[in-house]
Amino acid sequence: MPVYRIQHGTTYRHEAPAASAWQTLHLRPADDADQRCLEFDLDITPRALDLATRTDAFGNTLHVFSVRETHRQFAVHATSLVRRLAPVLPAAADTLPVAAARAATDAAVLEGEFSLEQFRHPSPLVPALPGIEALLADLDPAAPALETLAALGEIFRESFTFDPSATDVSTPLADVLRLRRGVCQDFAHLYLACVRRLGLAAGYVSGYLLTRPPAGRARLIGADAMHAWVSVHLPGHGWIDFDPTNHCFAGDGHLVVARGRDYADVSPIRGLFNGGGRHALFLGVTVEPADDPVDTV
Amino acid sequence: MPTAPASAPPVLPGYFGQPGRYDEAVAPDRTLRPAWAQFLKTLGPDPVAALRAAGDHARRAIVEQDVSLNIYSGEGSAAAAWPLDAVPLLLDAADWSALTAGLRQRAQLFNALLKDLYGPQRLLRAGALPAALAMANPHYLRACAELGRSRQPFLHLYAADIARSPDGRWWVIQDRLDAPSGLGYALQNRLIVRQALPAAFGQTPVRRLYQFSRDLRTSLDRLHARSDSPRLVLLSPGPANESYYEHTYLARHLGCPLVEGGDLLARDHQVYLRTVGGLRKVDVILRRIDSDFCDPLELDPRSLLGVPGLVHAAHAGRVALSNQLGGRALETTALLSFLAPLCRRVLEQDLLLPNAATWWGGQPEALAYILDNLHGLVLKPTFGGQPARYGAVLSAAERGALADRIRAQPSAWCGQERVLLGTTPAWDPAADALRPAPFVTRVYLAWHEGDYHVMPGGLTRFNPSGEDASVTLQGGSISKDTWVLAPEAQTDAPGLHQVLSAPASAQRHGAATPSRLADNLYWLGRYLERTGQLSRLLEKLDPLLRDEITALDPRVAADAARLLLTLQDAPAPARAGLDELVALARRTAADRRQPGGLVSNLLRLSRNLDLAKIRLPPEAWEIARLLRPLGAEGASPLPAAIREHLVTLDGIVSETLIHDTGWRFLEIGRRLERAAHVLHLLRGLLGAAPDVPGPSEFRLQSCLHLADSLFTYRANFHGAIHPGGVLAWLVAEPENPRGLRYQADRLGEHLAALPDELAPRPVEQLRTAAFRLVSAARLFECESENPGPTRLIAFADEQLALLADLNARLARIYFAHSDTDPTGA
Repeated sequence: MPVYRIQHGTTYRHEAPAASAWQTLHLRPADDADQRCLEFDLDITPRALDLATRTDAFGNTLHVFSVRETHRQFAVHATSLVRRLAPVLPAAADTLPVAAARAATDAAVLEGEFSLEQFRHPSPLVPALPGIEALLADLDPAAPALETLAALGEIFRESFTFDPSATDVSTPLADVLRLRRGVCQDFAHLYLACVRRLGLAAGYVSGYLLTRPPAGRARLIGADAMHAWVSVHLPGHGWIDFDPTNHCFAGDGHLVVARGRDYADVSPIRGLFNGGGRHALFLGVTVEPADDPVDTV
Repeated sequence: MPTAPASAPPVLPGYFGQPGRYDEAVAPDRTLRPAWAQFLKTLGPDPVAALRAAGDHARRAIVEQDVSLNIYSGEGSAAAAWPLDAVPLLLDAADWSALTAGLRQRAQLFNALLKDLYGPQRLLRAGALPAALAMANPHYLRACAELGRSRQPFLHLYAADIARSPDGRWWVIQDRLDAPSGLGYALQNRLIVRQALPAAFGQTPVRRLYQFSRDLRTSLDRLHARSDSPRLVLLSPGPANESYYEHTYLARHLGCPLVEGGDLLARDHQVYLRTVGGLRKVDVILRRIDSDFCDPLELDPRSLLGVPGLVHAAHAGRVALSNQLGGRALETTALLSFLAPLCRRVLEQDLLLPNAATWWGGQPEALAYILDNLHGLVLKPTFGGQPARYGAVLSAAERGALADRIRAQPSAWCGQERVLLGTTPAWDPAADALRPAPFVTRVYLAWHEGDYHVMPGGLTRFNPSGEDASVTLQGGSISKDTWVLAPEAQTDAPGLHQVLSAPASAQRHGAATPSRLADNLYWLGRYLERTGQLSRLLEKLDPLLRDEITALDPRVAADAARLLLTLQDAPAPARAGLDELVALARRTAADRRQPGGLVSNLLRLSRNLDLAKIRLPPEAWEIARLLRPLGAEGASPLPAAIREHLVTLDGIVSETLIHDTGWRFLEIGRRLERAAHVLHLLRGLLGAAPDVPGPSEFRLQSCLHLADSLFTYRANFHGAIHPGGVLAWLVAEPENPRGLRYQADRLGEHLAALPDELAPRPVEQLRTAAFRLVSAARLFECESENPGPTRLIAFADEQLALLADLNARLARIYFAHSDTDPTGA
């Protein structure tokens, strides 16, 4: 069971002094069936005297605080220790074809799993996109859903180019589809649009990748910043995570922080400053293997 | 079936109900309904004349009391007079009691639904509420999840738009669950109409509104369980909002501060009001900002109206909101088709009030029905965002296109049966008669001690064009008072005015003047004084020009004209002659584009009057109304006309305002401005004097005259005008209310009375600065025999710099909303 130490630093440098700030954070790695957050530490400057923790509507940990000192620089440094299992994928043949999975999702929603429904509709950053059908045209409707997810990943591999200069956080999804270029967040959103178009429930996952891969494995794209991928609900098997930027299912190097409908639900730092003018943003993410504290005791 | 007589009832000439609609006044057999028969009797022998007179009376009252509604019109929005028809809607007692039972049930139901939606979500889990109605609903605010678990009501204030169906039963057209508006206008309408129809109101057993108002304040206070004397504020989007007038009215009525997002500060899991005495904890917020815009941190980040951190404070349970955030989620039309079964499930009762039959496209059978019956339905987007479409008026092609859109996203559409609204008599000024008008009435309910109380009245609206497609006030509709008749006559003992006196809790918190209000009052004082001084100077210029000495020596008049230009921040050309200077000074005064000109100052005065409205008596609102047109484009007001209004305003300000902290800020602004005025006058008239050996008697006399001090000087000095005496009178004399010393003394007193908790040291420095002004004025006496122009200019400049410094310190300490630590509970 690999254990990882995650260092995530974010620094805002203002061009003028800011008198105060209000911020929310989605930075604490999640606890779920395949992952355990063993340690988590936040270092915020200037001090956040009223730092509070809440659980958001998706079950993620949310930090809320204000800063009341006049400052030119605002920094959040999160350190966490995470134990992660490789998710076990169902056998593809055990998964239903898309149409049947859709019907099974309908039934699940009616039978109490109502919250699946929010992952099937357009969301703030993933609107209904005309033209998305073209990406789905070559999918085999008879194939098991798990294969369909992988096949859609291959379509993404052929159709899109990773290009950090092509988009920024405010680029509308329709432009990404037109440009055929973007970053992990764009591809996750597009992949969400595709899967929701198929009628399945799909959510956005924000998290991390291992900075330096184990010997013999290629370094994945997105390892030096926060990463994003997609989680698809397959009835009978639960949530299956797929990384449309690297065209693979998530493995034990995909460390989950938060899940939501799209980036807007789980942005790692969101907030506002009173004053400060424009700011420059500096990000640093390092994810390294660490000793398991249980093993070393 | 017997044929109805073809004529209208004799007292309603030309009045005919419309086919297929229920009319409030006339029954299908053309007889008058009892309430209307009784009402018409109270109008005397000539009801038409009485109603015409009432309409005129109401119109005048609206203009005089400056009741307004901001109409959005693209870029610029403008305040329009509040549209009110003096003819009330009459609802009889039996009718009302059936209606209120249904409305109270509905409020209970929505409260339970909201508490569940933002709490345990049992109804969603059980499928009683379709998942998509919440989960795909853009108005379901995930940041507010779990807020429904509080023991307080989620829905504190509920409003329903109701209308009469053709068979005479009431329908609910729309439920308002977020921040229902219009309550203040309903209360205001009552005050106006009862005065417009005094005899009718006196002889009709109309149920009074005071009890509801009083209970509303009590129940708002009780929303906060932990505080004995909770601080209530009314949170408004600000003067640009369509119903800002109403916010002002309601805040006065409830006796609570009217605040905007910028007045509040959320930190340490609570909400504070920024006051001149520091941060004060806020316990209850009656909000008039839609939920989505209430917190840019956790809700719509584009909102400039909200308070960052408000949602978190609500989660922490430290601030209670009326209503709790997120209610708009259940305003979706689609919910109406599930309301009856939900009512049976949640309250174990049958739903008492029907709504128009509704089909939600998210259900296959309903979708089929909608698509088969497009021509007869009203098609509404499930979550709003675009106008309803009337199937009946669409062309075949349009209907086809709409059907395609519905098929593409069925759950995003609802079909609703078209409702023919009932009609009630409304005064048609063009026809000089009553005409039937389709109407909708908004009724208000407030939670009070475990149940909902219904206000026996409401805000009725009708569309004067006679159509009922949309009855909103933005769309040119007209409002009415709503008279609910009591079973028997009521005594009029406790009047509505009683509620107008602030409740005890408001007085306890009285010392805490919000910083922004203090800022407004300070500038109100400054602009009031400055506008008054400028208009007086302009008025006095004429006699000065006509003076025979001016004909011989124009220098004094020219200096006065130069002074007028300086005071209006306009350059005075060095070589210009008297006529040119005077013309320039007058042009500057009348020009709206001259930021320092008289009219510009007048406009700023008007704006500050509007902003500080909540603290001013109604008489001041009237002056505000009279001043506004004087600053309008193209108006060239006479200085005398402006001065006249300002004298009245002055009187109101000094005689009717409570002498509290807010008033002191107004006075500080006034004194500061008046002190600056005297200094400018000395500098411009005596400092500029090249006369040898000293200023002429005419110059000294003119200086006193322009300083409004000639009369008092003569009385004091028995006529002899000499430089030493004039300077002593204008600078050092503590008894001359127009002199510098007097202003300095008053400034010192007011500053000493301001709170200093916010910043003890800077406040001390501020007071020291004021003391320096007093000393300077006092000491000037010793050397004032004839200091000469150079010394005079130096003195005036020193003191003007001191005043500018006072202004800056005041703003920094009290108005800048600096986020100092909380100092009081």
